[in-house]
Amino acid sequence: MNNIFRGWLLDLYEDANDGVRLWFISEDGERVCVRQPMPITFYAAGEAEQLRALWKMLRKQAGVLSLSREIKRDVFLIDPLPVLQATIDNPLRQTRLFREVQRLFPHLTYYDSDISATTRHSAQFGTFPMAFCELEIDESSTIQTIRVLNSRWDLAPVHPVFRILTIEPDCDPGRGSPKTLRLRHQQRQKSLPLDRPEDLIMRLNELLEQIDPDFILTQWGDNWVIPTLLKLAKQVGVNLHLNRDVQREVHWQKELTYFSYGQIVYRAEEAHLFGRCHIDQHNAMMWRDYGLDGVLESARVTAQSIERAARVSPGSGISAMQMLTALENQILVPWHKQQVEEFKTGVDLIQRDRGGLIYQPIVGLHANVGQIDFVSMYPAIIIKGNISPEVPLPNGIAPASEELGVVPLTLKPLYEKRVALKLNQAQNAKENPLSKRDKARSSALKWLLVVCFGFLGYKNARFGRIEAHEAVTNGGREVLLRAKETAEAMGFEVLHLYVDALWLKKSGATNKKDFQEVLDEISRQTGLGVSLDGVYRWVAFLPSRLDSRVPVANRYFGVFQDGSLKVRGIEARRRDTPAWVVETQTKMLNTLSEAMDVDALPEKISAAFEVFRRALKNLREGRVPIEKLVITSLITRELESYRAPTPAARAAMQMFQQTGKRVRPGQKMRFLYTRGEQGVSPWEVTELLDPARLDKKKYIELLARAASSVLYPFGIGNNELKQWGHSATIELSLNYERQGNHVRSFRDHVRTGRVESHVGIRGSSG
Amino acid sequence: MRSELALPLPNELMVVFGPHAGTAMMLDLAARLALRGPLCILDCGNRSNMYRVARTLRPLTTDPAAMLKNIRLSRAFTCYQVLSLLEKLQPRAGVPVLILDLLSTFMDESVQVEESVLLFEKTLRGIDNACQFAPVVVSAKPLLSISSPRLALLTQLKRQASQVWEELSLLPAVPVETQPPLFDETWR
Repeated sequence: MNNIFRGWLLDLYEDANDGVRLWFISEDGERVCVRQPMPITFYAAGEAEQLRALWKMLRKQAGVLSLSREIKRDVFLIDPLPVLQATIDNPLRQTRLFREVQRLFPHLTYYDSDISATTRHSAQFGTFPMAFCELEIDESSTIQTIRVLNSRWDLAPVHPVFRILTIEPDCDPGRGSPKTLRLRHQQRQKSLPLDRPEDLIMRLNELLEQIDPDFILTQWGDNWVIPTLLKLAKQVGVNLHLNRDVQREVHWQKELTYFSYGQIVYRAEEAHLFGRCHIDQHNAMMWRDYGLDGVLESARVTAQSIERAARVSPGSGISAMQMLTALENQILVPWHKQQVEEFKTGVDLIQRDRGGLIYQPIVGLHANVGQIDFVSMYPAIIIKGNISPEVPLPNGIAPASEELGVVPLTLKPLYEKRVALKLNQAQNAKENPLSKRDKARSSALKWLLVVCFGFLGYKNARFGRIEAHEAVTNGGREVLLRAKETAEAMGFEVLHLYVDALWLKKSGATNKKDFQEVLDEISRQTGLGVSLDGVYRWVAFLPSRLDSRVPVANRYFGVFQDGSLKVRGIEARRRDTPAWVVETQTKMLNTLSEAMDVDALPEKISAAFEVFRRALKNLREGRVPIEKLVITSLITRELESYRAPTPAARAAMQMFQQTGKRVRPGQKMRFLYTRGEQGVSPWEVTELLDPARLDKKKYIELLARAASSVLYPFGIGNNELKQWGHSATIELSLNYERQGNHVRSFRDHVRTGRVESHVGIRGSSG
Repeated sequence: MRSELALPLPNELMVVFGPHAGTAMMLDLAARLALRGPLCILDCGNRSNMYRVARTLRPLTTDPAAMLKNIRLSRAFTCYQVLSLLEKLQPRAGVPVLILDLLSTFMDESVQVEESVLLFEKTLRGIDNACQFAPVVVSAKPLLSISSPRLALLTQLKRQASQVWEELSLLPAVPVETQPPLFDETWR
């Protein structure tokens, strides 16, 4: 007798016997596990003799359901492709078998061979995490039919009520020895001591059974909480039931150090669960940016498992989406990209391989400036210009072919959903409870869109091609130039262009409606959506620190008419700036932002300086909490490889010597500047650091540098502030007359030579 | 005194080894070769900075753009692409081949070590084949410790080379001694 029920898909994974197992949260709140056989098909192409040998090998293997010769479409080839099609009974067996196949037949070209079960299931049945499904299951809980009742592109998705358990130690295990574990579920909290392992494991098992959480959210779960709990459970000889699927052990994904976009990245070991999701908030790439709502949205649109969507980069999300699009459209997914760049001349390379367009800013302080942004410019160009590796590429943004390629086909619904969500956000009041959730979801979509352009040039992108990557920046430059010409024709002065944004001013244009006409015209001329980021009461474009005659792109701060600040390229935006410096610089900016217009600014300079002075006084008198002085910096190589160790490397070496803990390339190192030969102390071993050891001179210099970014437009430089910071005795003239002159001189300052340049790396190897 | 990488280059494999894969030297060499005729660059580390080549050419020729057209180049971002490029190359007699930062893509941690080794062996065979027709200069850089399982590839490359130049031991490149002809040879 078959049973029908409806519920939300929470988890899906491969199983050696069942094919795949799926966990649902049913409409009435039950957590249900069902199974589904899932044969997997992959393809091989190449020389007939090799294919014959492969066929002979495969037909002897267990689990091979069928072998046949088919004609398929490789989008990178003009002619249809004869392939050997192999269907295997189970995803796990297919993975094992394919490993053997590619070892024995390395000269063949393979397709659809390494696609995750979630992506395949999504392509076949339209599922995705939180898909609301109607299922018909038999007595052995095997799915007979499955029907998805909602869509990845729903603007207001409905979720079930989740059961969430959070687990965290009482201190950072990197800095100290935790004594208890803190658990939280709904409004209830519990502390479980770690020194009674048997009690701890028993109690934890009871709680896991009572709560039966869908999500276990941890702090340091991957590298400390779960390994520690499993170790203790083993010690006391009791099984810890972290998985909902009781037949499974915790699955460990190995730690990884790799290069991405020229930077070394470290991904810690990951603990994956079955039937429920574990997310270590310290090891989830974008958690701080968009939290669980964003993770769920990312999993939904990319159709990756929730645990995976939480941990991998947005680039992996885009890759999964492209594979899904390909499968849905019967396009073969190559195992390895083999297509190479067409040979070009040196001149061609110079002409084509450029990044986004930049017009350097006119340095100084400007009043009543409008900032116009293109809405997701590069994704919009990819869609509008139909830029995809397998289709003819446009010169500009007019498409060279009609049928959408894999990349625009993938991006179009994503782009439209993001635009619609942004519209919703603009309409909803900030206090609306849905507003926060929509913001997180919109942020998740934003990151997917942000990386989609870079991904076209990424070395391992199955549907990437460097010429397509270049075509996007070419389109971007074209569009920005058209926008500039349009604005200038309408009497606006262009102060700065930066890839997808323009800063404009015009005599008499002082509020939003004064910019509406130019917005509409730019949109009409370019065919792309533009929005007014805001009108600045005033904005300061800063010059280079090394040479004040040289402007620097995207280094500015300003205040919009609603009083909100916008800051780019200065210390408060840098991740390696200590919190104390960030806070002080932000307070100084907030003080300046109280000026209602540029003429009122001089009145605020003394107050901003006072913020700086007070911060220094607090430092000298030891009133700055030590954790606010911590600097976080990346370790880029093995410690022994540093010839001239950076402060972070010196701190890491000390930590290794003192504790035996090694910082891997791609990991971050936290440290303090201290007096003495080394000049630094690792934060992880500074529990008992004597505050008298802090190198206050160094911190004064850091703060003076940050303060000078804020006060530079008013004629107060880094050297003056540094001197003042060290002595606090020299006279620092802050009289209004002088600042008044400065403001005027900045407003009317002589323009430096206009420099056009291009941002972005040459090519992109990921 | 002439640089050791004096022109014309012999039809053999030469390896330039140094920080940044000897890029400055390779690009200067590309400029000097471009003055003499066609050459081919396979860029395996995103190092083909043609602005630099153009700057080098500027004092040496009245038409740097024409000289840049003597360069045919393609970039590979994966070791699979390196191999495909070599297969596509069709080396021609007297057309030198410069391969920039060859090992870079073979260090990709997403490719299994055995796979890298296999592909590299095929690549070396492709290079060997190209050497029958034209000079091949390959550049490589010291490997990072995270690439230690693949260190053998560098040894293999050096072993196959007829000449290996550690960048530090090379003499500074000497500018072309004579001004290039104002007109091409058909005018003589």
